Amino acid sequence: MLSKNFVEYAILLLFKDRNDHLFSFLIFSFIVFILSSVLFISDSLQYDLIQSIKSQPEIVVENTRAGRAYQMHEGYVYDASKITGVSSVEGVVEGYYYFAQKRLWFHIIGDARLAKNEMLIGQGVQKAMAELYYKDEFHFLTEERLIKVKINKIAPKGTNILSNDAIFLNPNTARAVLGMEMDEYSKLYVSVPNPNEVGNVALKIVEIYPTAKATTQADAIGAVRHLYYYKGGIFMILYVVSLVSFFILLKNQIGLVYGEKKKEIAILRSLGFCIKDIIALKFIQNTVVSLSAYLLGVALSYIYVFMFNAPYLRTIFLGNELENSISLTPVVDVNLLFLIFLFGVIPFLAFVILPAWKIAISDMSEAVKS
Amino acid sequence: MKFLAMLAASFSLIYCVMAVHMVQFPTQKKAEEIQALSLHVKDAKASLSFPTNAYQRFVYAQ
Repeated sequence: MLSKNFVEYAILLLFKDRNDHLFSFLIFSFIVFILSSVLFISDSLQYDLIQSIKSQPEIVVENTRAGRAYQMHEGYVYDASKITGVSSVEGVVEGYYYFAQKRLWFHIIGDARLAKNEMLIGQGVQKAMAELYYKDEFHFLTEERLIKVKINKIAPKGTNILSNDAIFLNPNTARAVLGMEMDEYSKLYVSVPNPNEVGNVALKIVEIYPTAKATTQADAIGAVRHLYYYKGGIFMILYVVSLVSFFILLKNQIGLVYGEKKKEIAILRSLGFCIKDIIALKFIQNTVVSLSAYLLGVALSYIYVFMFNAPYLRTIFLGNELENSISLTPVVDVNLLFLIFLFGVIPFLAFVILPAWKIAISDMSEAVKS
Repeated sequence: MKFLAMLAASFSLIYCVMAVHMVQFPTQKKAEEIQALSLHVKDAKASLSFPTNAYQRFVYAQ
């Protein structure tokens, strides 16, 4: 059992050698900060997107031609509705409008709640339009004519993850803007009440229309997880490389510092400290350093991501063409933090204690003489 | 020991502030807003806006 005086002595030594420990403390905090920030952002975005997918119909059907999205007509709706197990099929209008003045793409989505001459826009779209003085009304330029639509409502900030680049229009207005015919659809929403039949129905749709793509809810959730999968693949390699580089650097630095402190360790040994005590001394010092660095890194990343909404880093995930003032929902994965602790703090201690042990077992008489 | 106590106290304080922030964040309100939007626009996509350099040559205004 370690005595109180022993712990106090270890802390006193830590203060005396604070410059030696500062480097490892700062670098380790920074690595934990970056790692936690990236994972916090990806978890938060995944959480919000999966939340929205839960309201999605069981199957979303899109048509393709030459590998590109292609419109569907009433025949597709009729055929899909005749498949056993399907309760309803709804055709929707969706597409992209190029706003050339600002070099931006706006996501046009048909919304039957809206009147023909009004639209609901996302906050990013509002800012982009306001810069060119479109404040109450916007002019869509199509091949045939200019379509004036009143800016009626702005989507709430909480939905920015979905609505920032979106313009919600009446389906008929959306068709006119996107150059589609009145009986054409971009997508079909297929409702299947029995969850066990979803896979079969999706397969039947693809059998009837081989160029169509049927995406189930499970596929959509999988796509979101894949989009923000920062816990594996190339990212895992990057994390491992940065951590291993840090530990090698740490081992060299600590080895050098302890080499200079050989005389100090020799004096402690001659005073009656055994190898176990020397290791315990270094263990206490470095536990304080690594644990503080870990806690500080996690706390700073929480503040940076969830209180300040991750400026700069956010654009890596969302893009920076259109300003997105998203508020990230605080989602903290405790398992993940434990994993960072396990692969950060434990190797840190191992890499620091090994050089201390090596010096403690060496011949002390030589060290005292020098 | 005094230093360790102070360190533990400051970290407890920071983590308490984080916990309070997490509890006070309007997660429910945000979820309701997203759900309200998703009820009408059922297949909403993530609002991403990455640079599209390929189209810049056609642009006539800065």
